[in-house]
Amino acid sequence: MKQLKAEFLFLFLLISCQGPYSALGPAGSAARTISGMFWWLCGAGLAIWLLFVALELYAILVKPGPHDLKKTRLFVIGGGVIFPVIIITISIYFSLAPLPDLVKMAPKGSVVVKVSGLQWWWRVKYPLANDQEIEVANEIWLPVNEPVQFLLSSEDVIHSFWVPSLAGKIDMIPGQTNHLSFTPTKTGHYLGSCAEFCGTSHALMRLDVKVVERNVFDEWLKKQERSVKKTGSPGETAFVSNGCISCHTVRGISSLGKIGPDLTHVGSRRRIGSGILNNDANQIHRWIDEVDLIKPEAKMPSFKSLPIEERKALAKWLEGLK
Amino acid sequence: MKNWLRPIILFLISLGTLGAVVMISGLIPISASSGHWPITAWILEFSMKRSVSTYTLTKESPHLEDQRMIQRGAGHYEIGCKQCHGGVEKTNIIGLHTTPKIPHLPPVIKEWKPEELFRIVKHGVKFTGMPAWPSLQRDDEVWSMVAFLLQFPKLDWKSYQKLVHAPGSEKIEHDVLRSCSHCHGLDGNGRQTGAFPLLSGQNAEYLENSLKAYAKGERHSGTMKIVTYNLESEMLKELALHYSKQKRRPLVKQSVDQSAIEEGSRLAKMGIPEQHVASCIGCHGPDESGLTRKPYFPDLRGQPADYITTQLDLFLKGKRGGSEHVQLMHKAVHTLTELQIKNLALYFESLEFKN
Repeated sequence: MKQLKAEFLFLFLLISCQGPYSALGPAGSAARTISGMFWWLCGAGLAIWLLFVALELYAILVKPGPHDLKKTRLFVIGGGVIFPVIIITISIYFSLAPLPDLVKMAPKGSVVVKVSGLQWWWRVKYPLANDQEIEVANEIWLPVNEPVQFLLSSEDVIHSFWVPSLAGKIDMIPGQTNHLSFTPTKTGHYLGSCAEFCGTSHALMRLDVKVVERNVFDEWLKKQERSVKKTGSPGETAFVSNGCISCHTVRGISSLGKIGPDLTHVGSRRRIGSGILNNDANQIHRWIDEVDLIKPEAKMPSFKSLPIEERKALAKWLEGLK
Repeated sequence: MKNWLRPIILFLISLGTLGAVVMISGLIPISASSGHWPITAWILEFSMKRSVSTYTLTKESPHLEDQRMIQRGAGHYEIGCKQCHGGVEKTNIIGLHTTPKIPHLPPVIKEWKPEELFRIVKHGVKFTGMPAWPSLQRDDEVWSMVAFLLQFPKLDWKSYQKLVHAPGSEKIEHDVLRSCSHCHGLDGNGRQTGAFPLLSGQNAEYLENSLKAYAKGERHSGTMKIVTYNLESEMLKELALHYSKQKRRPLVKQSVDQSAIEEGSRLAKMGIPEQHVASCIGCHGPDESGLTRKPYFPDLRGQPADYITTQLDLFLKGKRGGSEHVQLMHKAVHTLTELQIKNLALYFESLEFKN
């Protein structure tokens, strides 16, 4: 029975090695290099450990008692100083060697994604050919098997960009742009998160990354480019007249707000609140009502004081912005 | 036990017993009619003066010559202080028969420094019946009162009346409206001096919410609390309606700082994204049609810059309070600088209110 339990525990541990949030299931060039390094280090560590245990057993069981002083010195100096110096030098070499590749610029014409960290969400911009930019938030789409250039920065405190299956971590520092380039190699949905403590709701700063075929990517980008058509619906009116436009842009309705996330196609995103709530009218309504409880100290105030019809209409309208 | 200690302990015990007997027997008169023994009066007064002096050691008084502050202070004196301290000539009749007697203020103001007056007005005085300011968040109101008190000795009956009453307000028959009108005027235009917010044409829903918040102490103001506290919510609603229907007359302006107004206009429209300050007009308007967007948001067009500055300052200090909508403001303005506040206030003051 005991044996069985231990096996289950082992399986349970292995589960976390897969999925959209694992550095051990690489789906990009950078993550592959890093996970390769991890396995080499594990293997080498295991070998050294076995060697060490074998020597211990030898000293305790096979040949107990005093050993020859000269030979012992050889072991202490060889195994305690020279051997580690060699091993550490080798591992430093192999861990520094991939760095230039990560920070070198992707070839011209690659997809460029500008990501900046804010307390506590991600502003994402895709520069277009006509010098314009498309702004989205908390969700990044990438074409598979193409190099991508990330330009990373921060608008308030230090954050860190990390999508374990694809790349990172790399710090996002205010007033500085850090470069990161890699090639995603497997389509799928991946998760990221801020990896540098950045304040109260640091743990609620998540990121969705979708790696898709080129044609799907183009279609998505084209859709994001589109503006919303004015219909005069109750939700749209509520969005304008209750001051939502002071912080949020919905292209086609108002481009005044630059503080909060762009909501032009918020309904098309997988999740809301920077990856923490499902994207449906109920959850959007909850977010409007009690953002202060869902994401402590977020810059957005909760709008529970608005009349209920206004909040309902808002949630419904936002959900529909596909 | 040491021998010399015994008589001391015995003495203390008998003293305590004697004291308890005197107290429980009820022989000591607590009547106001008999006043204090001279020694008691001296001890109480001396302690009070010492305390006021010590607690104002590091306090500095702001500029107190501003006519608007004097007007606001006078308005509060008329509704909150006069009942005991009386008018320009003498104290009220109540004051003659209390212990201690309530002082007639004009002759004694000069005995105190402005910051000492501030201390007394804000915190009141124990054992005298002098109450604390009804809202401890509003130092600006207390300073206004001090500004008035410093002028008080110079006033005669006529100039006092002129200071505390909007023209004709004393003839208004409606008790409550008369009281509002002293400062705000019956038409809600606040005598156009810029000392008081303009209520004329303001959104009724906002006015009603504010009055209710004042009454509950949720929007902080000593002056507004004493006038709203005892009113029924139906009456507050009526007042809000009355003022919302009045015709706006613009402020009488001294000078116009065009560059400040332009800068304020830019901030109000665009917000200050790098400071996470949202655009003002997103909620307050004027929108495309020139109005506020929702009736629960106040219309700021033409409001006195002094009023807007005070309110923003209170928001920054977390001392403004307000109705249930107020938390929207805290996150929208918390990083504004003094200069930005001034420019914004001048911009909204400059906007024309079309009736």
